[in-house]
Amino acid sequence: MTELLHFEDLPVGRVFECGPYHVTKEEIFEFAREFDPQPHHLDEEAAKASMLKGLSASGWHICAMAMRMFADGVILKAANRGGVGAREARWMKPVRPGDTLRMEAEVVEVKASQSKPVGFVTFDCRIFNATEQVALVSMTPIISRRA
Amino acid sequence: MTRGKQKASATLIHVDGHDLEWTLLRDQQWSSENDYQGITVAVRKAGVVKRELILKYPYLGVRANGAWRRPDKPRVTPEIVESAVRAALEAGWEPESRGKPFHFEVPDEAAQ
Repeated sequence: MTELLHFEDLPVGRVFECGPYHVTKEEIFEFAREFDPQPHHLDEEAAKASMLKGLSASGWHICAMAMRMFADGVILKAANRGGVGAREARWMKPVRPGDTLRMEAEVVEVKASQSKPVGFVTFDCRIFNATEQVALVSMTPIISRRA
Repeated sequence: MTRGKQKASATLIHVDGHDLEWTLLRDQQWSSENDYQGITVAVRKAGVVKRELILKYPYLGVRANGAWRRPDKPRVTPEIVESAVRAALEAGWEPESRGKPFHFEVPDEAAQ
């Protein structure tokens, strides 16, 4: 079994390559029906007339896909004690059906707890769409056990 | 796959008779809450527990004018840490003392 990553294994500057994640039209519709039922995420004609000029995934769906890539690429490999929220989430470019996404999660801040055997590790997460444009940026702190 | 350093490790420097070690605590970053922030470096007497120095640098790089822009990532060199440590020593940090960390805002002239 691979050893888990601890706080000491996550210095500022370490970058994790996460993904890929393939986006389908069916999943865009399914997520939108359940959680973000705006016409431009549910209907192709409405999407063409929208600001984004075509069907695109809900921003919250992009966050969920990002979480899946982050979980597979970092969280499930770390001695993780949970999250404390997300400091930023910016939708920069649309994510379209057929896109294959990838993610870079870079450690940008670390802080060891003075009283508990854990530390806070903040990741700058960048999601790239099929044309390598940054589709989402977010700042995500996690709590990691110390070695 | 990962890039960058695989383990947190301190870098040793010798400044004005003091054997010190430093680690990077924060890279340059931007948030809507705090705008652009510079790097933060922790410095301590090498190998012993003494009063830590926390160096807070100004943001070094191009700021976005309106649209989001990824913060610049300056290379953190021993030279820019040394000049900031000297400024902190002049401002009153005593590496041999004990107690709470000494926080120091690095002036522009000591950050380059």
